Parts: sequence; structure tokens; C-alpha cells
Amino acid sequence: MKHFKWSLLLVLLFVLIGLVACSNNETDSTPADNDDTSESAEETDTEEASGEVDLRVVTTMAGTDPAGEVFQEVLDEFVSEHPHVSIENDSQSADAGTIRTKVNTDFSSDNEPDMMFYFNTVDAEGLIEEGKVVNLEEAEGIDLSGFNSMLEQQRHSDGNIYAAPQSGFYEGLFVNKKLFEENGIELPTTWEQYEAAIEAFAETDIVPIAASTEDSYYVVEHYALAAGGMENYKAELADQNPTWAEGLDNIKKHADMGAFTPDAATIDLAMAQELFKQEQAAMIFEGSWFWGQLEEAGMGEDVTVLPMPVYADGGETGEIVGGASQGWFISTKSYEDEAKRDVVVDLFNYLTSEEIIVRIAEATGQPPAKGALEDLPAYLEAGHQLVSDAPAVALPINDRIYPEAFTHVRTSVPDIVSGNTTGEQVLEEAAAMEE
Amino acid sequence: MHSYTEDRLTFWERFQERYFTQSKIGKIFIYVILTLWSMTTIFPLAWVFLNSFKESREIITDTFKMPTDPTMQNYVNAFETVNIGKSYMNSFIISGSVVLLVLFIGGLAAFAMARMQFKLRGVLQALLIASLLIPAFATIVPVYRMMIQMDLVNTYLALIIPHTAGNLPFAILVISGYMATIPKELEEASVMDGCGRFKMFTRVFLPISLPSFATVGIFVFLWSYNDLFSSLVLVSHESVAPIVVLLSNVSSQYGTDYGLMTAAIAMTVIPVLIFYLVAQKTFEKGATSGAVKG
Amino acid sequence: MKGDKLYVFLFLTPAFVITGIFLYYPFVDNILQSFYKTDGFFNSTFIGLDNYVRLWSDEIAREALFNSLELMLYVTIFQVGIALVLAIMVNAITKGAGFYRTTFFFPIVISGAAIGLLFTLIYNYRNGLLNEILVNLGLERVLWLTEQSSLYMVAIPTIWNYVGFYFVILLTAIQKIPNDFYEAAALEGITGVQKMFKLTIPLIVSDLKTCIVLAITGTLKIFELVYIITRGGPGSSSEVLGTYMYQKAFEDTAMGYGATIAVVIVVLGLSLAFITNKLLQKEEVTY
Repeated sequence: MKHFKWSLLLVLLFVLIGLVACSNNETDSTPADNDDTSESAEETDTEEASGEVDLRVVTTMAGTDPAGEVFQEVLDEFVSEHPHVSIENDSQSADAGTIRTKVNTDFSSDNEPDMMFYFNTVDAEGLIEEGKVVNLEEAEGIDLSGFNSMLEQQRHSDGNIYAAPQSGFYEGLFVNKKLFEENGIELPTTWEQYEAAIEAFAETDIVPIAASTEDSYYVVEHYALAAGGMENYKAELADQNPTWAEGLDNIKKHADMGAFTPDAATIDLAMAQELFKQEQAAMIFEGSWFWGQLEEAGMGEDVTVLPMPVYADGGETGEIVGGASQGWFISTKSYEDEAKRDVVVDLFNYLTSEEIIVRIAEATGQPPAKGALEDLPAYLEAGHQLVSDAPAVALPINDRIYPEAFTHVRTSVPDIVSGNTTGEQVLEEAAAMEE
Repeated sequence: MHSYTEDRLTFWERFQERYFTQSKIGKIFIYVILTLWSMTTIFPLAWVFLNSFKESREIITDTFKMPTDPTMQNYVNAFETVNIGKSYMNSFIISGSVVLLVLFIGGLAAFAMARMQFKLRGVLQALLIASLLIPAFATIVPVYRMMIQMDLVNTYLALIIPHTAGNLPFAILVISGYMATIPKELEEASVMDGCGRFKMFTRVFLPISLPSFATVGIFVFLWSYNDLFSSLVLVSHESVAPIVVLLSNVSSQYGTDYGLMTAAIAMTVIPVLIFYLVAQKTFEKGATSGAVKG
Repeated sequence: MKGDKLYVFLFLTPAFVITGIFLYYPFVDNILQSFYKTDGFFNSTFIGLDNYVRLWSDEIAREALFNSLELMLYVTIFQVGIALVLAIMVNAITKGAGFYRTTFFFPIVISGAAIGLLFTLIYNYRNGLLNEILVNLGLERVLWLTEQSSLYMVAIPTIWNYVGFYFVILLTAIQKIPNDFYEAAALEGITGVQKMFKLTIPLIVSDLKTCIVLAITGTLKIFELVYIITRGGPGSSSEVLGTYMYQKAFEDTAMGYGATIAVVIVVLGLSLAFITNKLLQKEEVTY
């Protein structure tokens, strides 16, 4: 039948298109891959028999993250010393927001990477509870010596260590010294001076503090720290600690004094950073990663970082938010795979050796978890000093509380500022979310 | 409603008699409106291109001025940071396959939906409209799991298949909407000529509906080409990553590099514009052939 | 026609097999998720309808819902309206039609992220285009994105961004109208604007309907522009269902609750599309 021929043809064409698409990817993806990072599945099977090992590593060192390039070099060196090993570097920049989805789905679908450099925060909670990652202290051959205090910070609430740090970060009040000098205002080392600086700058054309009240991560943290000191800062959300509420209400108080731009509720962090970099704002709450941008803008020398002035009883100015929130994990699946274990352990020890840690940290300027950076510019040195002088360091609040609850707190700041709600009420609602 | 338009018509009729048909003022009026709108649409493209020759900082501070000191640095950076040629290839293989598959499978389905009578037609139509509403966020995790199981992650198919599935409902709805209004006589004539259904599709309906195929093709290409979210999850590896992934790699933990971003956008836009111009040719051809046959 | 059954089956099967496996099945999976409380990916507890109950009393969700509906109203009317006027105008001219057809398309080509950044820079308080103009004119700066205005400020780029899309669809439809229709009309003395109301619009009602359905469904899914320009703020004055769902599912890793919002988006859009279909059915004309 005529019609039938046509439909047959149709089905054939359909299959053909499918095949073409298939063969395209087979031919294109493998040879074009200069770093020979990806190997097709069939090859893996035959190669494993002859001792070949394929590893997949997921990190956030990608894109224009300066560590990305160094990291790839480091991997290449490892591969050239271990010819039977090939490593797929499946890194993805963290700010695209899909890395969490990808990692979680990978682990829940039996497709876990062999090693990963991932957030050892509330994000890894599920992985740890499910036993998907290795307890490093009990793993054979893993070398955890030589780390500074950042390693201890990785200890999970169950008492084990699942991740080894690469480098740390700190957050603080970045101030433009030049603007302070020009306007004859004292640098804020006490709460009174901080408030005085806000008042003084509010009278000029310079914005006192560049901030987004919607993306108010750092603002919320530092105001809570100022009002309660480290002891209260470390409180659980469920406590509904009154000093946190006081901190949130202080944001409103300062907003009313003119501390932020009128559009603080709709700008994002990047816009706030721009305000500071264009010298239109005198202060900003940021983290040590901000130095890269400041250097690029050519203003590293004009800026210094100060600890948030703490006014609470029992608190002490100098306490900072910081630590190491990312670390190297080994997945249980690949550790238990006899064919892979030795190589994975080798790779782990290699990547967490002092030499490699310092090399990667040099690219980013962050304080390393082992050893120290040399020949730092004075302003970076001052930041590292801030960390070593700190009487207490704690991770950001959003790293340890239920994400939905923290988002509620952070996105409610504009409402607190406009007087629609209060710090106390927001905390109550957030605590209810956590259950 | 009807009497209302009628009333307005009489007013318009007089108005139009006087100013539109009989004088050139009407034409001028039309051109003024069209030109004003086209200015608003040219503006962003010009903005992107001009800013791609500025430093990041200048983009924020003097975003609406001509570049004072034009620099190619952003383009140099884009080429150095990542392998842009490879990404172009990946984008074309992926989005091109998606367009072909969607047009072929969707065209057939649209033909059946528009010109054939069957019981489930209403249900299927509702299903198609419902699927327009499914956000990519809602399907990505299950799709990713399926791709892992089929061992397709980081191959072209990992993105081609879900994109095809995601764009088919749109294609079927638009093409069948277009086919629905093709005169009955044509169909009857072709039946008289002894055309089978498939021949009827390829000989009569496909050529007449070519403009709608071109329209759908353009948009499907665009959506597939610009979809960052699924690409990041399904084909993030450098060897298969399309150009949008490259574009997103341009932003880093050191903040967004707007200069690099505008350069990358400029580079992603150019092929799409070329594609549109080519498709538009097809679309004009189709339009005239339709008119001749109609 | 008789004997269609086999062909209906053959022609529809490939399309519905693909969408079935890679669109409907994942979405059903998503619907199932909405009955769970998911904390990350590993802890999910069945909670029945609790997510829906929670959604019902969630004030932000309610605001997002109303904002979405309001935005949908503006977007549908203006996007399709402006596109129709432009399409008829371009169809009426001969010289330069190609130019307009190309330029009207530009905004769609540029990714939402870039359009978002552009409008961010237009509205920005300190350095934005609008305020720079005001300052140059010796006027005070205006805060463009306030609780009252933010939704309109988001609606403008959204409308403008997609006018070209409906323009292309409608122009294709208008040009499909056989010439003899116009010739016959001309013989009866029907020209110009009258032609537009009596001939053009009735003849493209089915395409207009498609456009309206696409506009409704498209607006319910809006995410990128709103997310970049206002982040749903100030407060939640420009929060829409799309941004709220993204926030819940991906920022807060509450996949279950995010899935619930997605279900609501689909149900809502489907009912609206259904109503539109019913309302416009009577006016449909075939040649």
C-alpha cells in the first residue's frame, strides 16, 4: 500500500535523525576533548580490567574563578604522574545556582562524583546523614595532618570530619579609608563611631553603607553579631534570640538615619558592590573574596577591612564571621570500590597537600588551610591578620540554619525597614518554618 | 460589541477616507509609529554592542554613552577564557536538531490535530495547553535522573530530547492553528486527486503552512539556544556545553564581569540574527506561495 | 474523512510519546513531590495535602498569585494589542516592511539576563538612565522601584520584550489571508481601517486566540526579568509565582513546596486558557 510506504519512510526518517544525533555526540565529544577528561562508557569497562581508573571530580572552581585555571593544571600534573588515571573535571561556577541541584541529584541517583569540593554546610547535611560521603578520620591512608584550625571547624555535629578544607574566608566591614579621610570622619572601631559615621556620611552625597536589603546576608549576620556578640550569634534559630531581633531592628534604625540608598530593597549584591567600587559609598559588608574585585578596580590600597563593632555585653569587637565553608569530600561509593580506592586516596592527599593548597590559595588570595601565603599586599595581610587575631570565628548564619527560614529572615529586611514588621515577628515566623 | 465597532467604523471611515487613503498623511503616520517602535527595539542591541567595547566599570557608570576608549579586551577575554568556537558548534548541533525534530514531529501532529476528526482531540488540545504551563524547574530533576539512568548526561541527546519534548506543544498549537484556517476546498481537491494523507501533508499542507513552520522554527531555535538552566544541569561539560553555558561561566565568584558579559551576548546574538534572516526568507516564500494557491 | 484513525495514530504517536516520557512523566513526578515535605533531596516525608494547606495560608504566595494575575492582564492586553496594530501596519506598507520585520524581532533575540541588566541600569537610583536625565534637567532623583510601582516597572520590559514574538505570529497569519479576499472587499468598497475590523481581524481570530493563550501561559511562567530587575521586591510587591517557586525549590531546597506552586501554576493557567477558548469560540470564522 502506498500510504504504508510513506509511514514506513517516516518511521525510518525518525530513527535516522535519532541516529545522526547520537553518532554526532559520539564522534564529537571524545576526540575533541584535548584534556582527555571524558571517556565513553565502553572504554571504561575494558580499561578497568587493565588497571585504568576513571575519576570524576566536581568542584566550584570554574568559569572565571581564578582558582579554576590553577586547579586544572594541578589535575593535569597528577594525571601525568599517574598515567593509568584519567580525571573528568566536572566543575561548575557556584553562582549559577544549579550546582546544588546537580550534586544532590547525582548522589540520589547513584551517579556520585568520586571526589568533590563542595559546601560543608547545611547543604551537605543530607549527604552526610545518608552515609554518602566518607568519614575522613577513619578512612585508611587519608592524611589529615598539618591543617590549621580550619579543619576542626569542619567537624560535623555527629563528631566526625567529612570534609577537608582548602582555604578559608572572612567577612567584615570594608571601609574606604580615602572617603573617611576626605570627610574628616573617624574609622568605625566602636558602635558609637559606626553610628556617627553613618550620620556624618548621610549628610554628604556619599552613601554610608552600600547594601541590598533583599540580598541582606552579610548585613543580617553582622548586625546580629554586633547586638549579641559571638555567644548569641551562635544561638539556634529556634531560640529566637532577642539580640538577633535587636540586630534586625537596628537595620531599620540605621536605614531611617539614611545609611542605605533609597533603592536598597531592589538592588542586588553586584549593584551594591558597584556603589562601593565607584566610591559612591563609604562602607560595605563583604567577604574576603571581594578583594579580587577591589584590586581589579584599582582601589585595594584605599580600602581596609574592620571587624564589626560589637556593643553587646560579653561580646568583643574583633569577633568575626568566617571560616571554611567548602571542603574536599570523598564519596563512599568510590572509596568502597577496590579498583578506585588507592587512586582516590592518593588524589585526596595530593590535593590537600600544603603545596597544592597554597598554590590554589595564591590564585584567590584567601587564607589557606595549610601553610601561609607569602608576599601579600599590605591590605590582604591585614585581612589575614584579622583572622589570626580574632578571639572567635563562626560560620555565616545561613550555613547552619534551614535555608527556607534564613531566606525568610533575609527577604523580610525590606519590610522591617519600611516598618511593616519587626525583627521579633520575623524571627518567630522563621522559627516556625524550621519546625 | 458589534454595534460599538460599527459606530466607530463610521467615524473611522470618514476619518480614513479623508486622511489615510486619499492623502499621504496616513502612510506617514504609519511610518512614524513603526519607526518609533523600531527605535525602542534597536536600542538594546545597540546598547549591547557598544558596551561590549567598554570596560566593566564604564558599563555601569557610563552605560548610555559611546565608549570613550574602545577596547577589544572583552572579546579577547571571551576567546581566552573558553573555547567559543566549540561552544558555537555545540549550540548549533543541539538547537538545530531540536528545530528539525520539533518541526517534523510537531508538523505531523499538528496536521492530525487540525484536519482530522477523532474523539480525543479536545483532551489532547487541553493537554497541549497544559504543557505550555509546565515550568522547566518542575521537570528538570526527574529528567536529569532519567538521563543519568540512560547514561546520556553530557551528550548532545541529553539536551536535544527534553528540548524537543518541551517545545513540541508550542509547535503543535501554533502550526495547527494555522492549518485550521486553510480552505476546505484545497483539502477536498487533493482528496479528489487521490492524495494519501501523508502526501496531502507534504504536497499541500506543508508548503502552505511553511510560514508558520518558519515562525515556529525561529522561536524553538531561540528558546533552545537561550536555555541556560537545563543546559547547566544536563550538558555542563566543556566538550558538549552550548554557548549559553559559556556565557554564564563569564560570571564568577568575583562578581559579574559586565564587559565580558556584553561581549558574550553580542557573540551569541549574531548567529541568531543570521538564522532569523534566513528563516524570514523561507517565510516570505511561503507567504507568497500560500497566496498563489489560495 | 473516513479511514483517518490509522493516520491520526501514526501522526500523533511520535509527538505524544516524546512529550509523554520527557514532559508529562516528569511533571507527574513533580505532582507526587508536592505531597512530600522535602528537606534537600534525602529527607522526604509524606505529608498529604499539607503543602496545599500551607500554600492556602501563605500570604506571600497569595500576593504572588495576585501579582501574576495583574501582570498577566497587562501583558496579554498590551503584548497582543501592540503586536496586532504593528502587524496590520507593517502589512499595509510595502517599502521597508522587511526592515521593520527584522528590527521588531531584536528584543527576543537578546537573552532575558541581558534585558534584565539593561532595565536595571535604566531604573537604578544613583546612576540609572532615567535619573541621570532628571538630574541633568535639574530635577530631583526619583525612586522608580517602589512598593506601588514595581509591578508596572516589571510589566513594561516584559511587554516590550515579547511584542515582537506575537508580531511575527500575527503577521504570518495576516499574510496568509488570500489576496482575492481583499480584492473582493475592494470591489465592495471596503478599504483601510474598515478592512481591518471587518476582514483582517475576523479572519485571524484563531491565531489571535493562540496568541492570547500563549501570552497567558507565558506570563504565568515569567521568572528571569522579574528576578533580575526587582528580585520580587521591594518587600514582595512584585513577587510572581515563577520567582516564588524558584526561590522555594532552588534557593531554599524545599522541592516539595516548590512543586506545589508549579501545580498551582499549571491548574490556574489551564483554567484561564479554557475560559479564553470558550469566550472566543463564538467569534471564530473559517473561510
